[in-house]
Amino acid sequence: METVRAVPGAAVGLAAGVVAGGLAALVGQPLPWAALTVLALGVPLAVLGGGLGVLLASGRLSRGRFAPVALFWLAGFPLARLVHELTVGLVLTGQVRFPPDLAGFLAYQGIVSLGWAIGFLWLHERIALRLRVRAATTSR
Amino acid sequence: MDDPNLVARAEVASPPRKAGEREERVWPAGRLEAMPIRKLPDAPPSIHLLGPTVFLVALGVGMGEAYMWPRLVLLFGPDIRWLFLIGVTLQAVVMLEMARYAMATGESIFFGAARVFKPIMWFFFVVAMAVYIWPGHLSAGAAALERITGIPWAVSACVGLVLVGVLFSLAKVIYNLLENLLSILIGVLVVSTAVVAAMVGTWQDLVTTVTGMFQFGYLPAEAMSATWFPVIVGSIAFAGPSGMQQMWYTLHLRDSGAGMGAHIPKVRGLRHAGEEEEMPSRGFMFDTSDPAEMAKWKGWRRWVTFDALLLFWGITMLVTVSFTVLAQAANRESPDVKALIEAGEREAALNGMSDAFASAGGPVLGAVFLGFIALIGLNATLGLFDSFSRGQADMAYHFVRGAKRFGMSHLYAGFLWGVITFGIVILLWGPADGPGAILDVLAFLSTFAMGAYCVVLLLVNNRMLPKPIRPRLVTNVIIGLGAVFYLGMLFYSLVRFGVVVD
Repeated sequence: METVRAVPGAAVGLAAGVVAGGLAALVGQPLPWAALTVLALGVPLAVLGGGLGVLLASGRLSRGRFAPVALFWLAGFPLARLVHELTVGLVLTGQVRFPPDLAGFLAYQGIVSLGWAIGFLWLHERIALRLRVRAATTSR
Repeated sequence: MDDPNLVARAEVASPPRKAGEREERVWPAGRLEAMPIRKLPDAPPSIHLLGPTVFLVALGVGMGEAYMWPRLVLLFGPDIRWLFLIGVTLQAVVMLEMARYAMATGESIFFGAARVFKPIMWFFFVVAMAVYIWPGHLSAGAAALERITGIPWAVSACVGLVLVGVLFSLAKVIYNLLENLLSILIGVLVVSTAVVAAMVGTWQDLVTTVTGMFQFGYLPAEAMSATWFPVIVGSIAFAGPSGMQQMWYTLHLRDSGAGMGAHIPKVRGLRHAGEEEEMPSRGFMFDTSDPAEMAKWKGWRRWVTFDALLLFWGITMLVTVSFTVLAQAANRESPDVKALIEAGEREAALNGMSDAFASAGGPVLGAVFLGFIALIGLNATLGLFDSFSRGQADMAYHFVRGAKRFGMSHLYAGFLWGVITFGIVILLWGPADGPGAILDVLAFLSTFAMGAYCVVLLLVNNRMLPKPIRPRLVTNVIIGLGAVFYLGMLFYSLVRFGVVVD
């Protein structure tokens, strides 16, 4: 049951990675690079998105409100981007390299996370609603 | 009912009543048929993200956000963005006021205008026909698609037009189909914009972009020239929804069942037109003297305020801030982008921005930019064709003699296929934006309509609604300033520089 609750959020997170990776492939970047983008960005966002979905569905975060989701991503989105940067750096250079201005990087990602939170919630609600309707139809 | 304007009387069109039968209470507004009193449905219990605002976002987040404002920032610096902040904030207030009338009555703002003075409504009918039948809005998105896929833009535009017509004709309830479709497209746009901005921009770009929004009064000397002032006026008009898009939002609110719109049947696709319930000849009003009804009304106002502030204002800001950050990043890496943008026509400049993005962030970024332009074009086209047909059908149904016998859904289909057929003919053989000789007139009408609807809002909401739900003084002042802002800039540009908007 917990897995099902995580599906919408994980799907949105993974989709964001796929969008970035898919566009990389579309314009002729090597396939391994595209796959790296999908994994390095998509997986952290999918894990966090799935976790958020479970928190919302279980009532530990109140549903139908924007603030809890925005706060979750205020911490989660910069974290996912940091994982992305570190992974790409590690694959490229073989070393763990933090962004030059780490505080500025995290602050910027934190601000962008508000926009991401709106888009995430928008798509999450849509997919979750679909799943609920489908589950209700099947149970009848 | 305490309100002296709210009288109890027999409805004119109702059949003779039997002895002892209670007279129906109505709200007389203007010279048109009075609105019967009905129950206001309960507002949605919690803030929700799915609703008619998606149409306004689809229409509003367009060339203004993706192209016009990033372009102005590159030319005049980020401090020029205070004008954008004013433009979008004003549009959010306009949205709330459009919603006030539509949710209180279930009528469109066009119907409200007719209640004040019918020629005002006919003015908007004529403006919509003159401005929105030209398929020029398709060209930027289709040209961007051509750059990515190689498919000639005229082909994809014509195929897109026919697909839109078929899709809307087959839909059982057009609103539901379109809300679903646009929700996904906008969701993808917002999520992708955030991801790309996160990967490309820097803290410094964001700081300059955001602080620029608070440099009130900043206008460099070159902005006050015949070349650039009309561009600035056009950009302000295109900050958020432009032209008549806010007026069409009232029709989407009604079809979504918001407020008293719940008492109005939905517009159906041509294939299901036979299932259409009879459209009432006017809207309805709720009992504003009943505290329980007023509590529900407050719930609806909270619902739409959330839509206006977070979804509309927030998403519009996010997209435009992100595109401005992208433009600044591209400009930092490739300084010739400024010259390209300054010199070029729209499509040349869009390609220039794409190339600059590509040189700044690799070919990915160039394609991402064009992909966004194509997506924005698709959203706008879907929303625009539906909105135009919906608005014209609404006005025709209620105010053209004999039109009622066709039914709302058939009228909608008539306007839809009319604009599609005209669009294909013009795309293949004519000037897509409209005849060169009247381009200035069309641009003038589009911006003039925005000033005019502010005046209409003041008249409709203050004269046609019961006192307890009329706007407050501060709201009236903001809408009044909106009228002065749009009309003042338009006429100043015309008188001072002899040019309308660009």
